[in-house]
Amino acid sequence: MRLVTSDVPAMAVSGLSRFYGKRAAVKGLDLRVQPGDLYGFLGPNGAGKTTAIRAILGLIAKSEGTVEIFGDRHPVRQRHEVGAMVETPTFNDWLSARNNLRIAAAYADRGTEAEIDEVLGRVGLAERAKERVGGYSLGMRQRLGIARALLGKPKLLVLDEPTNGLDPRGMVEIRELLKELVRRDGLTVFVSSHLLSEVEQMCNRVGILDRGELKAEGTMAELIQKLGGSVEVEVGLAVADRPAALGVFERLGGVQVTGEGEAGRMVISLRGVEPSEVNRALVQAGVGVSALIPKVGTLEELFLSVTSSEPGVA
Amino acid sequence: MPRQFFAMIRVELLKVFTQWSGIGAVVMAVMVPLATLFVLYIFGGTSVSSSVQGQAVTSMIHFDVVGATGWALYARNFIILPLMLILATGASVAGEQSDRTLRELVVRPVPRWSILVAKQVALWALSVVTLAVTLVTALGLGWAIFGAPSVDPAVAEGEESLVRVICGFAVCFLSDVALIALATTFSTVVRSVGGVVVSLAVVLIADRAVWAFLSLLEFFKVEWAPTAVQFTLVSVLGAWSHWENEYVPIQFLECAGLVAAAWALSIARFARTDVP
Repeated sequence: MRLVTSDVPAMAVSGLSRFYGKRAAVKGLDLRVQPGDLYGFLGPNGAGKTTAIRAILGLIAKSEGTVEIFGDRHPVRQRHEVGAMVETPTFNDWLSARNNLRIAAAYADRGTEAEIDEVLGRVGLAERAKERVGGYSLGMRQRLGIARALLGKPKLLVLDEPTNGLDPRGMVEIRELLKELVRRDGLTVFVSSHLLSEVEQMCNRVGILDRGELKAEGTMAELIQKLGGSVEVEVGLAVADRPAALGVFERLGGVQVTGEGEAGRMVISLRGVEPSEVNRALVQAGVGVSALIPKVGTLEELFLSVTSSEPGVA
Repeated sequence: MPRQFFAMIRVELLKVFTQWSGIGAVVMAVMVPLATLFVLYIFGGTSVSSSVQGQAVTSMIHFDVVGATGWALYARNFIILPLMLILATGASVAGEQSDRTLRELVVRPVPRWSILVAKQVALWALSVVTLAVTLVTALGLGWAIFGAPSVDPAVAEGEESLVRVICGFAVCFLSDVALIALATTFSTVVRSVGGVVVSLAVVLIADRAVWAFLSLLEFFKVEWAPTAVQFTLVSVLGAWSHWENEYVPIQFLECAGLVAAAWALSIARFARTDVP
């Protein structure tokens, strides 16, 4: 019997390495994904993200290291709790979407017909479930891949570049879906991406991989603080509320007003304080917050500062 | 054995019987006896005057339902159906590696060996279905053309022959199991369906050459040649071909040994394979 408590990480990776000959595609990777995290695994193309995910999921052998899923190290048993999508999802193209999900459900020992209907509906493919997957567009295949990963209500979702091939609307929908899965269903999501804006908009924790090594990990605020930087946020406030807001910023500490943003929004700089803390404090003080927008480019600067400009290794 | 093993077999059956190699195998299982009986019907209805060593050709071929079914069994095992089984096996393992659908199974909570076994069972079912289809088609059509099999021993071999030919089909299943196991081993090494077919064909042709050489030595009374020839793949996979006379028990043991060795190799290899 496995005891799952809240302090057991959803996924703990220790010293994970994968060598191809003498070349390390992933080297000494340590990750801790806590339950309820929407963890962004960020890195440039060829950084080793997919290799790391494949090693975590047991698709390829690990040269070194261990992977624990909710405290379980057993390579087969731990996959009961995991739904996964690696790279562009693949299907038996001559079969319908529903039959492809039936195959996944059979192997997962989970997922009834009702659950298949539910996940198909969730990704907007219920109407086209009887069609052959061979006729699906890339975006539809991507959605079906996510539906397959969701089948059987896993506790941890591991998704490799889930918005690849989607149009902007599709990307937004998938992002919203993932946020909803964390917020409403209590899932933990580990998502790799090379799209900075995607990770910035979606994830509460970020790990940055470069040339097979984890260069930085933490919340956005933590990462920026580690690098000696600060997070810039635009705050939308009524003019009348500004004095009260300034009082809140002073009480919080680590908050500095740096200028005026778009549409009259106040630009503040945060050091060691999360934007969510600022929002909470303002609301508690009775200050109406109409917008709280992390300034685009914050993660980009961080990303560029920790990753190499040389081509990747994997 | 994982709890979901039977569900895994069920979906593997769905895949095997809906992809082109599986459908092709079943279609061929119908076409082969049809073609065989058509040829026999033409021969049987024509007075063939040619003879071999003073014996008329027509006297060497059984123009009855049992003989026709036996010929259908020979025809079934002449290249086409074994090739279809190799293709189906290749598609099931190597094909799924190359089109990357195998990884969707490997990330599930099942041991890798159980995936191979579920696929084997589905392929056995394909073998059974093709054999049954060929048997039923040959018997049904043969009955319609040549009439019911005679039960009078004075007239023909009768029921005993019918039992023998049905046993031939049953033994052929064992040969198919060995062929599928062999093709699975190749599928875990070669990562494309074409590669499996070509590499296995090369091995079988090389084996056939060895068999021919050993048979030649046997002809020249080389003492060890008859024993050695028993260990060729041709001999092991052709255990079914003795349905007309006496089966060779050691061939069944060799068949079982081949299956065990092929499985052990496949499972060991698949356990270490990086799945793309």
